[in-house]
Amino acid sequence: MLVNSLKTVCGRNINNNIRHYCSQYTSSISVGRLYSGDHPKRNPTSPSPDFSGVIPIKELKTTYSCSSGPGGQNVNKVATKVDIRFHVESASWLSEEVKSKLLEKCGSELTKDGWLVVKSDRTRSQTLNQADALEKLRATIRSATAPSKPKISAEEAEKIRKGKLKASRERLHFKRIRSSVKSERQGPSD
Amino acid sequence: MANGAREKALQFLREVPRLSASNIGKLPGTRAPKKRGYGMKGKNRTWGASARQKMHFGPLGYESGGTPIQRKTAFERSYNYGIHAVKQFPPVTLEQLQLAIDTGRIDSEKPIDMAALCGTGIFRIDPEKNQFGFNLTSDGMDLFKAKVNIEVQWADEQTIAAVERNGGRITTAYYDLHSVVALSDPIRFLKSGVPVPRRLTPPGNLLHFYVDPANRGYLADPSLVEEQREILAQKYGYQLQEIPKDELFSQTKDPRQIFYGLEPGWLISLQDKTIFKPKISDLQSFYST
Repeated sequence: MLVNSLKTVCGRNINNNIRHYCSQYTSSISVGRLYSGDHPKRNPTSPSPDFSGVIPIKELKTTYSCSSGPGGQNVNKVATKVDIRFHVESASWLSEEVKSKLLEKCGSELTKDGWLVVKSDRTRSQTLNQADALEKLRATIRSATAPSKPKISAEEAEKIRKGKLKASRERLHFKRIRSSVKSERQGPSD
Repeated sequence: MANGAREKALQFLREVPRLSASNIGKLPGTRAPKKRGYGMKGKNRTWGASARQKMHFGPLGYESGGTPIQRKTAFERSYNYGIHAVKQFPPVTLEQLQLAIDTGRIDSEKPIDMAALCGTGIFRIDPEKNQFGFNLTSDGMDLFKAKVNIEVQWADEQTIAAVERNGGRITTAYYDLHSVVALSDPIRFLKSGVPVPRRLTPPGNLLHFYVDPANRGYLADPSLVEEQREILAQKYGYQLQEIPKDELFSQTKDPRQIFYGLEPGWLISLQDKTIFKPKISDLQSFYST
């Protein structure tokens, strides 16, 4: 009965009358007055220069299935496992550079037909598993396109090798001194 | 001697103008014996030997006469100190919302706010218990299918994603207690003959929540909100749908408004089906700031 009485106030016919009487109310703290409206779109900075992190969802093939593991009726019935795949070679949303780096890094992990597959059944929820799978995909592409570590020159490598030898020589020197101190503490044997 | 005392007492009773329990002393034998002081008294005293020898330690907590530690250190506050001031946002799950829409308790063709949820009769807000509105939780986000224009008082990221994935719109808005009283039972409020009040801004400790576009706060910058919608769509992996410009989704509330379509300061008479608006300029300027 409360619902019915509310309907008489907020129901469609009364709403029409109210709209007829009321004007568009704006107070001094309405959002239109607080903010100017023009806001330059920020481009998010990403760790890898070629890949911004944005993936067009409709270019991916997403399938859902039942997860494995314990859970009884719930795990048997609810399709929480998420499988996301896309064909790397024909992906129009990746630049050629990114594609080549991706093939170089994950070439052996692609399927026979060249599809990159990412799966997730980490949580009990399909939504969260989908987010997890997408994040895995992003991480894969980022790691492939991330700038590689600068290679060490031959001189530097030689310096590092010599430094390591010196360190181990010093360590052994002090170890021997320490060892002799401890053995001198023992009395003469017989 | 006892007689003299009795005579004295009786004389006192004759002379005194008023009597009370404090005038009249206790009968002999009814007074409690004097309590001994704190410390090592009576049999616990030791001469020429330590307390440990005699195993007479005095009262529990006694530290040889100095201030004991339980008196030195300040008491802790109660663990629920300030609980009367904590604002409560009772939860409504997405599953409950979907069920309510499916069974016809809530009309998804109209904007859903606290009044709509309280009007179902299954969700209740009690301002006396410091309840400031509803917290839409993400339990059941996988099966939430409805396309709604909903305004709640608290929501987390996953809830927002679930609503926006279906092409809906969610806003988080703050109502102060008087506004909550009005909105949680609109019929009762409108019958009371009080003009619609101005909704107050959130308190300092909650302002950060309602100004944040990630929470779809009602005081957030709309362009930043749009940006956050795209980010969330990318995070949870769904196609972002444009908010349609139809009647349902264009209905919004100003930060000072409590009811859709009704301005603060208006006096509504349900019986006469009329609205009385303030004519005095001071009142008009007050209600429009």
